[in-house]
Amino acid sequence: MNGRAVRLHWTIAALIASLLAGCGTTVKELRHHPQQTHAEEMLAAVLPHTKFPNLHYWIRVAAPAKTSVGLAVLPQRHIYLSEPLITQADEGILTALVAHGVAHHRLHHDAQRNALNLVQRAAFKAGGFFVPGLSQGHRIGGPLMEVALSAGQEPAADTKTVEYLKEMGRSERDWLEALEFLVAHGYTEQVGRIIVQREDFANRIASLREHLVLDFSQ
Amino acid sequence: MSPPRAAWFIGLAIAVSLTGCAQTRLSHEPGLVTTWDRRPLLPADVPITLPLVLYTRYLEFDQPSDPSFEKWWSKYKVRHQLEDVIGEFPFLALASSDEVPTGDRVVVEATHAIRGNTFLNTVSQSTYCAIPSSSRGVIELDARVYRTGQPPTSYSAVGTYAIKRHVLLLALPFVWGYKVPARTMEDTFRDLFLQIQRDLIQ
Repeated sequence: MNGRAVRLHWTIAALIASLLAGCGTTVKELRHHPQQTHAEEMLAAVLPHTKFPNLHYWIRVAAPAKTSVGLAVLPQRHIYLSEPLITQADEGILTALVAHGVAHHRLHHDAQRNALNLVQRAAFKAGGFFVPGLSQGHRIGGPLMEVALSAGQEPAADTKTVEYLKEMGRSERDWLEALEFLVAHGYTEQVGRIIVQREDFANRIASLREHLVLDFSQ
Repeated sequence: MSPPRAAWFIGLAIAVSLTGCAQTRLSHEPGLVTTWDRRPLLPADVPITLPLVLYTRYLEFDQPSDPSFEKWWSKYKVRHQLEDVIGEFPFLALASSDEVPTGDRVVVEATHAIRGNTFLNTVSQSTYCAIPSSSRGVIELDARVYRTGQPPTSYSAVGTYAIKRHVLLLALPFVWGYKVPARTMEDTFRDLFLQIQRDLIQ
């Protein structure tokens, strides 16, 4: 295959990838949902226990999606709770989920990913000057890097969530129950572009159970 | 490189860099000129000054986009348009977002959203607008007024404008309509503040 054909293949692949990226999962928010005020009250209960309580967060109820995302944490300090979840879960679980969303934002998880994405993209662009087509490598490398980062970010957000719940005078078991609720009802979690796989919940639940057992034994 | 060929390349480079301009903003709502003329004036002897806290966000095809120039520009524009309009309503004073007031206040959540068919818009962008696309800009304002001894009251206003994109529009700068989003934002703010003012008079 000559250089021109390789370049053409890369261009077609890049075009398809960009089209597919455009069709990625979206969280469709519901304006003026009856549970909106309830969601805002839960957020208002969490924020005084954060480092910057005056920061504004956008909490919204999201329409049910095919991906069964129950909690979505998206840029510009957005927290979405899906409509079926907000009607099924009790107050303790919902507060824990909101606290988890705030924890992701306070730990700047999305910003970290964006910064690394930017560096990676620049590196691939630079590589593209020497290897034809390499400049499009970030389309594959970006999601892979985000998945790898996500694996480390979730336990950190779990720990922060437990901290917030303790400061609110709630039981840290609320977060364990929230995770078990997500698994039992087939919900998942989305942070930025990455949707947490259901299998990952098992590890987090086991780790949290272990942590709680240790706490009680001390 | 021969001069005509170089000219062609330069022309192409300029055209590609300007594809963002190849758009026209069409009709917009609300058109509040008549409403504005009939605005209820707040009596001068009502000494009300409510600090207004503004929170802005920018959504692109239902997703909060980050980081992007469009997000920064939209947030800047919304705040700028509010500053232009707030002078017409003396009972409101724009508060700094660093010092959030806790007593009587107005909290406004301003959403600037671009909506439309994601797939068609991606195809259009990938082809540098050779394939035309259209989308809708939406300004959604949700306000909550907190006053001592009263339950908080909510208000909302929505403004929309249409966007058409095609590379041929590059040749027609007189139809670009750059002021349309700004006018829509201003009119939507007026719509919202008129509702609040009407309740304050009663």
